[in-house]
Amino acid sequence: MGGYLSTPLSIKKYIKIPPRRLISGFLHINVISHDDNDDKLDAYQWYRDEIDSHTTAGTLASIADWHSADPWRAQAIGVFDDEGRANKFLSFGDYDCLLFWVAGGMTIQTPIFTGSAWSKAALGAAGYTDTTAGVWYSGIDDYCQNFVKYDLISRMNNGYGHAALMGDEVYNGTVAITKNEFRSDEIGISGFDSTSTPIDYDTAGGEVPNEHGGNFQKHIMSCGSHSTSANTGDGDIDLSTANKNTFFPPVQDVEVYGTHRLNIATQTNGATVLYSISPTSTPAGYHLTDFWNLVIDIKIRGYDDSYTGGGSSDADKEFFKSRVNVFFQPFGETGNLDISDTEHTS
Amino acid sequence: MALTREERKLLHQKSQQPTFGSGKPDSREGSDGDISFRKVEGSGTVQYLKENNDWTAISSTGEMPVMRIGGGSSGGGSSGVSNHASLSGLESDDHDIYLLIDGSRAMTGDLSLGGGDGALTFTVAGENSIKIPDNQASALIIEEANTAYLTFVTTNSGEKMQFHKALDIDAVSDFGSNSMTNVNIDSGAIDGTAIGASSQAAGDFTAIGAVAAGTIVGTTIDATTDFTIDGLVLTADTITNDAALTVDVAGDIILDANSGVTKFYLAGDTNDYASLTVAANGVTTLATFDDGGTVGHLTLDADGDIILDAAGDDIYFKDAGSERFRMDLDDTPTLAATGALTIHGSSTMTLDATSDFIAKTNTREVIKANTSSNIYFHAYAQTLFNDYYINISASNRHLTSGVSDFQQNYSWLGKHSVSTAYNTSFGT
Repeated sequence: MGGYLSTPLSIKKYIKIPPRRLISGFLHINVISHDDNDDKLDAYQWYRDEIDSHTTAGTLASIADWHSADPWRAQAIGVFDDEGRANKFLSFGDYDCLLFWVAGGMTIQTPIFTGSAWSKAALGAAGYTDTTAGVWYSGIDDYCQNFVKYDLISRMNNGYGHAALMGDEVYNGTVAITKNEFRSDEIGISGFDSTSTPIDYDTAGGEVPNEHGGNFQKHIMSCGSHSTSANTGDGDIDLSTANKNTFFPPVQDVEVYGTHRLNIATQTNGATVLYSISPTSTPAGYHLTDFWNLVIDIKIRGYDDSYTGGGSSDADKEFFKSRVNVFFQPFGETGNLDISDTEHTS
Repeated sequence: MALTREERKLLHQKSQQPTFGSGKPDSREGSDGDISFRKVEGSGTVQYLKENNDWTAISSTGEMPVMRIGGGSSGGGSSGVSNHASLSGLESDDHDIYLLIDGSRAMTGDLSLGGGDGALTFTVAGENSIKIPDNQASALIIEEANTAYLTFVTTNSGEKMQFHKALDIDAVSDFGSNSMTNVNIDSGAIDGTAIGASSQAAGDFTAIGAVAAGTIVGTTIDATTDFTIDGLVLTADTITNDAALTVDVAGDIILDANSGVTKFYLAGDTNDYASLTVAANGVTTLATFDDGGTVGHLTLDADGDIILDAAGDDIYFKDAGSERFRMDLDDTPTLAATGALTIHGSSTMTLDATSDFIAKTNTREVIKANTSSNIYFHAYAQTLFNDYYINISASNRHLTSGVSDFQQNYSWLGKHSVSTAYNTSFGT
């Protein structure tokens, strides 16, 4: 059955960009439960109620795939608090909004081959299948470099309460996004990692307080929320309090990086491997140098609906139908950009 | 007023003047004692005396029977001279009631001739004449009853002959070498078939004119060479003029060419010209022809508007036969251009629509501006609480702004997607 999922669902957006153009800009990512948002319970409440009802009926096994995956981990109903949102149809609360600062670019250059290109006669004499002259080499090095960096500026959702106050560590209702942050002081760049033991500033002879830094985790945030209370009719759930922020943020992670079109074909005569980016035989080799793809990889929480047991488990279904809106505002050395749901290949 | 024939006859009778006539007089005419000279065939001129209500022949110019003595009894037995040659004293002429054959005695009354072929015959060789009095408005009238046919007017300085009836000349008239001058046709018309059609002669009319507006009516005016009016010359195939030529008609001016082509030349240049070509169904082409094929421009220069009114909806503008503009003139007019279109203004260019202004590419709306100054790009169709002043319907590539590659580029890119693999049982 399910279980912890090392590979979530991935929704990617590809932006075609010429090489060696420095750009930077804000990247908005909005993800929300989407099924018209008018007749669905919020995901936490609905799934909790499903577990409750099937547990009572003794039929929990019928929903074992998603129940055994994060965040439910095949726990009994007692693990999950009833938030009392049945019949409130608040699936709109299951959203995640992230703002990144993306900068950089990518250099692309033709691979550097080792030695001279093989001739047709040499290829034939050595027993290679593809004897195309001038395209096969004994070695190849690709020195194209992705210089893309990104920083999560802020994240908004209604789910940070699972981690902050519920105390149900078993229920992994929130997934933090790691924020790489290094801070400098008069001494220099420090490199303390938040995954290591926190610095004990109180210990005599301990670390200097202003020396800190490392990989900080950006948990689900809610800043400056103000509840207008039930008296106004604007909602009886006070989202300014942590224990009410128990909705289902759908985003597990976001990665932003650059990649280029490269496929190095190989053939061997049983002893020596040869490399090419332009063979006439298949599989085709290629290495495009006129553009690269900026990849915005939005990882959505899901479960393995087709898991048959054993080995790792990859998510293949979201817990609910979602809608993703991505908005990128690059400023810099090019306006020659094209966005797509699939990788640009030409 | 002249006396009628009957009045003159009565006057003769009442004045005991002999009467004249032909044949024996009727017994109902005259009174006893009247004398009448009658021309009787076979007897010559016979002198009749009416007595006892009947006319008695008493002498004649022919062979006479025994002379009767008027007033005598028919039963008397006296005798007399019966042979005219036996008469004496014939030369004494002691009765001036007779005409003398030498014409020395003028007639005092009207002369009535019996008529017939040669009733009045001149026999003298040489000149013969009838003389009429001078300075008379009606010196001589030839008339039927009182209807004049020909009047000779001898009024001083106004001498003339007046024809009061149609003049029918049924033979070729020849004025010889004499000029026919001062012919005044002051009414009516010259009507005929052709002047010079049947008998042509060399020579020219020096002028055909009128002191006032007149008319020449006919069927055919046929000149063997040219008609020339001042500088205007009409030849068999050409009309030329040495000055401006005005064609001024009260009705239509109709040019009817079987080829349908009417050409307009400049100073006889037949290589560079304009033509007006009419084909079947009135299909018309106004064209210019330049021998060089480049500068045969056509200009429509109107002090007022130039109106092109096509019932067929379309007006075309072509370049050497290739359509460039088509103006569709139905109730939603369209200006269609074939080829790249540039609207060039040397100063401010304004496109002013009283309703929406819409710019399209390949029938697809790209820009629309409404009368509230809202601008919509790419058929923006969302219904908003209130329209923005700039509205863009865009997908993926929303906006870009920049100077050039490597300089000041700012872009907006967006992407929307909906998950396809999810728990379809969720929320049910």
